[in-house]
Amino acid sequence: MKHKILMKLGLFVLLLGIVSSCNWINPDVNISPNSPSEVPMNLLLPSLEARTAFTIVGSSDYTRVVSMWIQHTTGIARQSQIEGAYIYRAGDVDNMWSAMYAGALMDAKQIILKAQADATKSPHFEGVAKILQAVLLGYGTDIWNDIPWSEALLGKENLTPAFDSQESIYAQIQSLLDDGISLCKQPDEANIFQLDGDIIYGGDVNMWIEAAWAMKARYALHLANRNGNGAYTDALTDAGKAFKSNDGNMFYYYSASSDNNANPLYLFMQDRGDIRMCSTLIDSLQHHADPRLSVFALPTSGDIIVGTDTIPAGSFYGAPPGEPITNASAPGPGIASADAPTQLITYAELEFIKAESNAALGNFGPARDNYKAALKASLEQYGVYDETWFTAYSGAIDQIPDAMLMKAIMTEKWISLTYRTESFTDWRRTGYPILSPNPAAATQEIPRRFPYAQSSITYNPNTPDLGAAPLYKRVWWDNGTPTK
Amino acid sequence: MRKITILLAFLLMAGLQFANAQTRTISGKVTSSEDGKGIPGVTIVVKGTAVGTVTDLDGNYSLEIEPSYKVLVFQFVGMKTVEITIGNQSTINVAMQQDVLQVDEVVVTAIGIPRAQKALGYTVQDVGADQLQKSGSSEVISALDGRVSGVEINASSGAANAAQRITIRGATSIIGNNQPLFVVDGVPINNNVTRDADGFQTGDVAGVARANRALDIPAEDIESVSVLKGGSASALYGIRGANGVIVITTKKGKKGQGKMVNLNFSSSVQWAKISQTPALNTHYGQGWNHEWASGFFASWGPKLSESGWVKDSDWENSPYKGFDVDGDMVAKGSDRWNSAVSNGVASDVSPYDQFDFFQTGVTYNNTLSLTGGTDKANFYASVSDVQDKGVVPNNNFRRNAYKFSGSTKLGKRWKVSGNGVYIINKANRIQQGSNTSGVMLGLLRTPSSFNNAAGYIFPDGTQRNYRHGGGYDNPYWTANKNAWVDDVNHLIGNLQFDWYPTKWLHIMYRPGIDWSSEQVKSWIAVHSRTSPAGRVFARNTVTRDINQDLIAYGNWDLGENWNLNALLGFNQNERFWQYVYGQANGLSIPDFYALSNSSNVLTGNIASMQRLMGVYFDIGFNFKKMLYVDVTGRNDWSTTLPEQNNSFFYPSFNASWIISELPGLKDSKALPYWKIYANYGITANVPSPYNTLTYYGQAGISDGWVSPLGVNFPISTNGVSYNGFTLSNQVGDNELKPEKTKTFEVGTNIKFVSNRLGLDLSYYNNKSEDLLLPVSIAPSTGFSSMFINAATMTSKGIEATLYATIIEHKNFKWDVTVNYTSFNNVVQSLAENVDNVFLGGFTDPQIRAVVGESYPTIYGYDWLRDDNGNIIIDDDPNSPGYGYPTGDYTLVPLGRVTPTYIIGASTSFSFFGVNVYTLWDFRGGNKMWNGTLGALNYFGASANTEYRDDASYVFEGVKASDGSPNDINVADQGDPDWAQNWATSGEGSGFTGPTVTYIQDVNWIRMKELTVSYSFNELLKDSFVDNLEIYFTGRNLFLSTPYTGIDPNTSLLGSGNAQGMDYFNMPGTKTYMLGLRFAF
Repeated sequence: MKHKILMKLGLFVLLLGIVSSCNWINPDVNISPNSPSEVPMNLLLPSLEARTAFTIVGSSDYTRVVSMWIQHTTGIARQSQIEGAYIYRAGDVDNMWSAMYAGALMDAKQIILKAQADATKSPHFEGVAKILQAVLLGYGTDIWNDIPWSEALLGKENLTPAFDSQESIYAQIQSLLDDGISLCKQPDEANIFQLDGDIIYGGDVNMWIEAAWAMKARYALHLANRNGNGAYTDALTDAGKAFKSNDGNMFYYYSASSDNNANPLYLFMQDRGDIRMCSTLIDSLQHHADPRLSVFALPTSGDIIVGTDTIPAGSFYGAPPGEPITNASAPGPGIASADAPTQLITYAELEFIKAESNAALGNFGPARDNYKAALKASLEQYGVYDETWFTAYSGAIDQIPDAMLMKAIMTEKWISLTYRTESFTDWRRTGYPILSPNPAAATQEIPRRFPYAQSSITYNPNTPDLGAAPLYKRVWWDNGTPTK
Repeated sequence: MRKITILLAFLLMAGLQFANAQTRTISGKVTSSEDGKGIPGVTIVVKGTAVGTVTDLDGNYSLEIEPSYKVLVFQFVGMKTVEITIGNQSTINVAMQQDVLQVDEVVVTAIGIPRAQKALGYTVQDVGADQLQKSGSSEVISALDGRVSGVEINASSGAANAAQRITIRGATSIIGNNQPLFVVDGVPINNNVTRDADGFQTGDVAGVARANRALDIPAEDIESVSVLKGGSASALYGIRGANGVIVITTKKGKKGQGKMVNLNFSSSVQWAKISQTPALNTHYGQGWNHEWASGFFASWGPKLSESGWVKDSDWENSPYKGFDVDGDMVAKGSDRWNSAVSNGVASDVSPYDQFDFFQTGVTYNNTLSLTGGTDKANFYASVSDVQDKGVVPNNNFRRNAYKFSGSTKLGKRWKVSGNGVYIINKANRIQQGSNTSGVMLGLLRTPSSFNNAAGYIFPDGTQRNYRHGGGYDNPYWTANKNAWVDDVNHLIGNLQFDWYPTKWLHIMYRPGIDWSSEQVKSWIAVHSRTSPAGRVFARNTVTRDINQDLIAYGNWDLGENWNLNALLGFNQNERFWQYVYGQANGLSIPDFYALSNSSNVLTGNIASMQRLMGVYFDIGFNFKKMLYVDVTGRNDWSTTLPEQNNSFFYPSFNASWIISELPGLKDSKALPYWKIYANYGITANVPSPYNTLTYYGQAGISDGWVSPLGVNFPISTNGVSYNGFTLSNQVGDNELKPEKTKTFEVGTNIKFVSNRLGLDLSYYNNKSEDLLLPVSIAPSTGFSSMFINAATMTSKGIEATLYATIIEHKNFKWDVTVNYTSFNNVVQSLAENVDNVFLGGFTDPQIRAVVGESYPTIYGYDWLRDDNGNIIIDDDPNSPGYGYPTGDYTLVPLGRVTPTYIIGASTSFSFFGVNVYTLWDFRGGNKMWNGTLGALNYFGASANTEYRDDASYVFEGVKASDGSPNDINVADQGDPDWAQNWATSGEGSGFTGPTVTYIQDVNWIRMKELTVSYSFNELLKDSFVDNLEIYFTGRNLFLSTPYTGIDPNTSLLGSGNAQGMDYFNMPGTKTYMLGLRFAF
């Protein structure tokens, strides 16, 4: 009898177990507890801005590489030494390509979709996201020429987006900026959610409007070799509506105290440290006793023997391209401190845009004024404005013959925009500053673009084939027409 | 649900047939016919039923039987099976005869049910405790190496307690887990490497060598391991059986004779030395262009024989005096040298041996176990302690394990047993790999003229290394200042309730748990290169797997010649893990490692849960114990699939025919045993959790240079705090279905010449379809991958085990066993537009799954070659590349990672108590990326770069213009530093030149083990001592390989799928062990 009771008890327990397990396979078990499937706009904007700044505009994959080509810096060891000798391959740009499309542009699209939806209608968010999309496309097309846009960001709906021509991308940039401006101009009351989570301008839409005009000016100017004087007049008009001082600078801010939000060049120097400032830039700064020398460069860390001379530690010394001088000046605090901001566009650049446009249009007087204003803005931006030096230098600017003015403006712009990709664009457009290739490079020619990302070549058959020497294929606006 | 109803009906029926019959006890002793000693562990089963028992340590048994029980079957590994008709006997003593070739071997198959080897229509290979002990390994995976065909085992690192990868018959999944399921006493356990969140992830190129959890099981507690290879063998284990199953049976209690308790003690001490090391440049010092340069990154400096150290006033005043403790290096004969010589401050340069850094590792392993019992109950208890001091200073590991298992009978029809092992691991691990704080990276790059050992820290706390504190950490700094401390608590346990309601039915319920908690605290000291501001990371991970099986098993004789057995089972499995972590970046107080010590702390938590429910059956027939047919089927429901696809069924069939049972062949001496078998089965696998939707995640923004640093939300800037989220790069799929592998296998087992020679042969052909993987897509879609069912992969192979007893004499015996494995695992298709998938690695090279190639494949750059495969040499005298080959920078497959053959060959000699056992391991046909060599060539630090001053150097290849053999001498083109330029900025660089230069063959011949043991048992025959044995075991004492790096049994990416990369990995070890086993 005992066994029967035990048996029945056993069966009951088993039955109970089985019945209770009917809800065991519940679809809710497979909903991630770690990741949300919906996120509000004010939490997407910070990462959109940070990614734009850290992985595109100020990135170690982009800015660091072109800074070596444009001879702001030079590579002294490992990968940097090789990249500085013009070896840069499809796989090397995967990070940046992916950060741009599968990161920043896609997050901007999510903001736009939410900002357009009736329940969460917020034109300011939409405007800011569109301005940032325009900026991203600008940085992308200037280094890659034709890039996907009209068929991009559609997920599984289009696995092989077509590559739009640079000409149409430029049209898109201007149109997105125009949209951004008109959306940002809408009254606060039209927004269900007010602009929030904005690291760049702290939620001030007027600043975004002025920045959008500045960007419009920059991208109008880029097409000077294609559009001629129209480009310069457009640039002047747009620049006139942009911000009027360093207060309007479009900066992404890092924090001094944290490696969790630190300048990419700072982190690169901490971890890798394989670049130094280039002699081309340092010699030029030293030649003019430019107060920005200690902004862009650190004193040398040890003695350097050059031929029979010894340059003592604590001096400023730029390493000539291709020479791996460990003790040469490392990047300085203005560009490589933990909290040195990523500069998307500055007032100095705006004045240089005006100076170049006026000089090209033959308005040499205003061009000189713009030139001085630009230099002053740059000195002030870095907190090293020195009245005496500036006055003397302004006097020298007045002495520059008109025929030489463009070269002087562009060379000065190259100094002021140290460690900025814009200098690479300017050099390609105008040929200034005049540079000799790195003598250690196998190919004695400075590259003019990036290869397409390996991920695009591999997974999208529409990726244009750049042939055997992709770095020397010119982008559409880089058509070799000399600047006036 | 229908299947559950059937199961219930079955159970109820079983209950109704329950009958309370008259029983009696039968007992006896089983002895060996050879020496008359009792044999412990003999399985005694009532024929045609599932009723049975096991003999105790002295061979005694007792069994309650019912009148309907007619025949007892006695089975034991290595003995011939005996059948005895019970009749009226109450005592049955049996003398068993040795069966050298183990024809009637009993193996533990699916669900822990023992079955005669000959009844199986698939391949199972067993490894017993004696074999595991011979390996000298304290964990089970490396102990299996070379002992089982079809199995590939790879170590990941020479570091203490580093992960071991095991695969059976290649891979079935592209990116999923390809390692077999580990089952301990019937309960599946988790064999993962604990997940990481600090950027040093498993499968990452940097970090420390981690452990996988199967390494926690103490080898001394294992009674036997069965390796289930085919899909048919593992169908009953469900989705996780797709990669084969390692069935581990731990030691159980036995009744003692005369004494209640038997005691076993084993103790060993092992010394370890690093084995093969890369050859380094010892002729040239630190510097560039043949000139010495203090702090310079490379060894392209002066010839040491032509240089000397000078400690004059220049050096005294140098800021680098502390860095360069030997002085400044100057050319002999220079003015400075001459004046230093006259002042007595000059000395010669002799190269430092950087490998002095490594120490002799020592491992102590002690295990004490007790076993005992009565007729009704028994127990086994053990405690073990492994203390491992690694070859890298401060790399250490300690494991304490406590095991208890017990069993008791309740009445005649119930048995309750339980097993539990609690393991405590503590380890300190050292940074390795592609990591500026990695030991080998800093060590091997150091010029031979720089003495790392002369101090790694200055009084102000800054670091002394060969790059003036920059570059890479001094290895002494890494070992002494940085740490990764983990503390694992691990419980594996189960309960088992057995119920025998009738003589032909056995119902079993077995809940089991595998719970582990891992607490990690790691830190990078201030002034370390990886994180100069310092970092602390802490993480607690809890993993909990729960499994329960309810099984009904019946066995019926149908007439004289037919027998039917059937099994019906129900399974629930839940796997859960969760971790919480905190990471403090930038330390306020140096050398104080707590999360509070920073103004910048990131925290997070991640959890994962998945559940599975399955119903399964196994029905087998046999005819005259000659022909066996088995059919299995299983239906699973998984939470990780979309609701509409979450139920799936998969069957298997197997059959075997023992030809030697045919009347004409029976009792043949020449061919005593011959079996052929075949099977076909389908196994299934499910996606990992949370792949059906697309999610957002907290943003961590970085690049390939400074990861994991960058912008990691939440952040605070300009006094405002921000959190940030981003859309996942992977798009989910709500149409996912399970992946399936179809397996087919045929095989034969033959024994010749009175069982002294045997051959097991099997061939298999597996095809995996609908494989789940995140397919990379063009990032311009807005995503970088989509998780879908796509790929197809096949695996074909042959396995053979040949064994022979060459000499058999009373006091002298010589056995040989050879396990041969050969397989080809080929990716047939991936997804539309996708011909390869990234598994791990760098931008170049990478390990990928490539369509049409063996899985996995090394992918990288080759040289430009002509149609005949010759390297093309630039012979245009005006070209800067005159005389050099040119790289072709399209990524191409460069070789397979898995060997084409693996041979484990062992011989064992025994004479008068002495046993000499050797196990050799032969592998080949595969490649590995020697990235270490590539980097060292760049740094001028490899012995390879000593050719730099050779008067003649001609690259092998053909001239571009006419295809004739190249004869251009690059060494006499007028550039004294041509070799340096070629290796640094040219294509000879391991960083940017063609990868193919550093892809090397990994063939090896290895003396895996040598064991010499002596048993005192003959001498102590009549004493209280049951067993006393001493032994010496050496591992990896001999290695011959064309691979020029460290021991190629290594993997940068740990135990994951991306094998085949070596980049400053920790070197392997050779070990020498002395041990003792004692039982009374």
